[in-house]
Amino acid sequence: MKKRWARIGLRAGLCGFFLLCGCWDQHLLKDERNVSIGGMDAGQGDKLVATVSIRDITTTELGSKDLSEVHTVLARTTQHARDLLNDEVSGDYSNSKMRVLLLGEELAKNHDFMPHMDVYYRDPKSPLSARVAVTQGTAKEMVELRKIGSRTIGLYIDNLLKSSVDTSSIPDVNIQTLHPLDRGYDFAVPYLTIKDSMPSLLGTALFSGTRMTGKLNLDESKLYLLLCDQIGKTLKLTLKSNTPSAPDGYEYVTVDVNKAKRKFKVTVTKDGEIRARLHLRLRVTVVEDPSNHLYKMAVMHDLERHLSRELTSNAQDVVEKIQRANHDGFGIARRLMSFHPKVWEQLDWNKEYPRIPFDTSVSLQIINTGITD
Amino acid sequence: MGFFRNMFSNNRHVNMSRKKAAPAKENDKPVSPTLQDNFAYIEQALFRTEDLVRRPLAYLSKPGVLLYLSSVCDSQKIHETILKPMAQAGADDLEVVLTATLVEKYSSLEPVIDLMLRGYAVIFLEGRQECHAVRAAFINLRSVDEPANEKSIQGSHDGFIESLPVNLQLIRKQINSRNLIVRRYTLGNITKTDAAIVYLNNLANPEVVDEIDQRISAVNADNIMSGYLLLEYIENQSYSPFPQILQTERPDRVVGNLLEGRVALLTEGTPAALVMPVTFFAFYQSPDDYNSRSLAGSFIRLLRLFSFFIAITLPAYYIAVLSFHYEVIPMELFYQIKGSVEKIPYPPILEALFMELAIELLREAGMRLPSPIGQTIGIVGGLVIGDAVVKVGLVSYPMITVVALTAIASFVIPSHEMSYSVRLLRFPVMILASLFGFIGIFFGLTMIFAHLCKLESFGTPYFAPASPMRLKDWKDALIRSPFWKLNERPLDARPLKLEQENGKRKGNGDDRG
Repeated sequence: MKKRWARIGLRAGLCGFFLLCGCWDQHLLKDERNVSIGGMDAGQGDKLVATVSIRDITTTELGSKDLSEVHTVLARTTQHARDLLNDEVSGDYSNSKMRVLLLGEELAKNHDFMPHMDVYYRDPKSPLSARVAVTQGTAKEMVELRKIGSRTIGLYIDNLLKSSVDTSSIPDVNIQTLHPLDRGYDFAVPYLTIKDSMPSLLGTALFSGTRMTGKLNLDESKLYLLLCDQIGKTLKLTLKSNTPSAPDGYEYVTVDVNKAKRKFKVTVTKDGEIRARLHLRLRVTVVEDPSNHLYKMAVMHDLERHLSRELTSNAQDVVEKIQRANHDGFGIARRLMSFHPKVWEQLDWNKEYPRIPFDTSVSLQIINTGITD
Repeated sequence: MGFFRNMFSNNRHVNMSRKKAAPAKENDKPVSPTLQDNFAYIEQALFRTEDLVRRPLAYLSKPGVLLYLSSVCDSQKIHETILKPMAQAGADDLEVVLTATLVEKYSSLEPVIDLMLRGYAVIFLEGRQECHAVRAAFINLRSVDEPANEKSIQGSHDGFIESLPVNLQLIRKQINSRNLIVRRYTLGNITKTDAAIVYLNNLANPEVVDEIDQRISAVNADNIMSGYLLLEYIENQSYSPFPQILQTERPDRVVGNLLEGRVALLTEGTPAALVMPVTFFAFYQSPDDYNSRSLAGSFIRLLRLFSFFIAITLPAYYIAVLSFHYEVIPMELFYQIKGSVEKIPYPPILEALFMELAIELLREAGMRLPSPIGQTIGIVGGLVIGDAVVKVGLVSYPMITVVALTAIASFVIPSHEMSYSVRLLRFPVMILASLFGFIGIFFGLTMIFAHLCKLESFGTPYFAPASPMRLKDWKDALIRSPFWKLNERPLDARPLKLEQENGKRKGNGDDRG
């Protein structure tokens, strides 16, 4: 009998110990301070200037109030920055709910920012879905705006980027999609600026490898996304229409892309010359056309031809621009790696890429002109 | 350790090991021809209890005596059915003279004394070696009202009461089949409570009935005053959190189960029937499902089953999220929750336990108090404490939402027994969640479901039709299909006849295909 009770006691005790070890992993929400937006800038030497905004909500009977608390540290690495920040803020520093990661233009252009990202890919609580953007000037200035109206800076920029991704103005990138093991193409990230002490979108920053080498404005950016086959929920293009003599206010037409079909082919000729053929077929709805003559078939076909021509020349400009930036957003390198590995091995890609001849064309078909006709 | 053993064992081992005391041999005392002898014996046997009434009488000019216990006999009946006819009698045969429904002749005194305790009056006549026991029990019945704890919106509004014959009648009224069988038992060595099992002879599986019969007969206890006491003697596992016998106060619920080949146990003095064997899903079926149309019935039943998960896992989920995985909360909600949690000094598990405790206390207090004060408690609890507790900073608003939602979800279940078990089960799951987060919840749920799959009710699977799987039976377990779809009875109770209806009907223009 004694033995039996001893055994039961032992089991209960062991169970208790095993159960208690779960508390090791506990991290209570109430003890943590959560970063909503973080920024990285190049500091002196190889150092990193990390700026974070911690968002707080105080809830009272009258409602809740948003607060943004900004901290800046000069650190050796990202993890070092976290440690320093933890020493600076009250409560446990945590960035697992971070929504946006900003990169200063200086850091993006003249330094390799990938080493600073490493910790994000190792920490299991890492905010992999945080959006990434480059800011003109420093990220610190942007984060220090603290609040825009009643919104904290993190929420503001997150929503700004989200809505622009939906309308296909900028590429949808987050920390996960920048992973360095995802090789064979170059990424492009949104490019922000401060206009009248408000964050606003400038376009897209083009990267070659891990450095920023060029930028596209918002119009080019849309076309770039079309060519990359990465459109979001909607995509609208406002273009000059084919009525050159039209009075002011009647000269533009806006189309909503319903369907975009991209044909992209990379070929290597026998003598080792690489060629890329890029053809885009759009089926669009005309959502805005002040001159309003589309009920005539001939007018509509004229407009189709005109827009196709204009888009083709715009697309060629964009391609030229990204080639100049040595930015391989279409993933030609990946195609070469998988389909022409022998060619790939002998290539000096950075030299070869800008010289690749692109055959770019866009054709457009109007399938709907709205409800008035 | 022997000390503890004796303390916890409740003397059962001692009782078991001791040889069962043989029942005292009844010395069958025959009825004596002299009145005084009989009276003296009976008075002695009843230990001179003072409600024993002795009324001398004369029958055909022979002296006699009428004995009864005033506490269980109806004096009106004695007057109407015994004294009056005897005074006007001309015939010699008492059984012809008496107008009572039950008149029995006895020649020994012992059985007569037992009958007297049940409301019989006994007539002794001078010079006769026999006596007559006449039933004149005082019957005090309440009406067969709808039970307060199992109300239904549609359907019949009668309920069981504390009388076995009335309850049996309520069942017979709805099943006019000669196959409906009643088997009687007398339970409790001291209480001698009447009980009966009811089943349909051509449906209930004889093995199940035998098993139930054996278990009831094997009970050897002094006090089986009510069916609730018997329940723990005959159920499969008393330490399981899940009830394995369905208690219901609604005759229509019992009838529905009888028609599925189950057995109902009724007890004198208990306004409820125990239905067995049952499955987990039977506790989530309510007469309302069957009295409304199938779409509405299915929706409500799914809602109830969903409430099972809410009641068990919602506080656990919230605790796990707050202490381990707050990344899963959407961003806007995250900062709101964080804002209100920040000032709470305790980890979420203590917060939750405190609030759950408060709710259980309020519930219990509201139940014990008379209804006008009970409502006050509800208001004080719900509004005042709920608000003050947040302002003081003991509990956060989200936690109040979670706990309140959980409490509501646990009241949805149409069976109180199951509601209790769900309320109990959420505590271990909450503790596991506070220790291991989501993994803890999954381990907890896995253990609960493993237990459910293992559990049996009178040799039939408890978690049927989910395990063992029988998709056909899901039509009346998870949802409530139209009646013409329910061709077969559920298999879990192993009914003798599986087919219960034939959905084919002449005519077209309907959706029967």
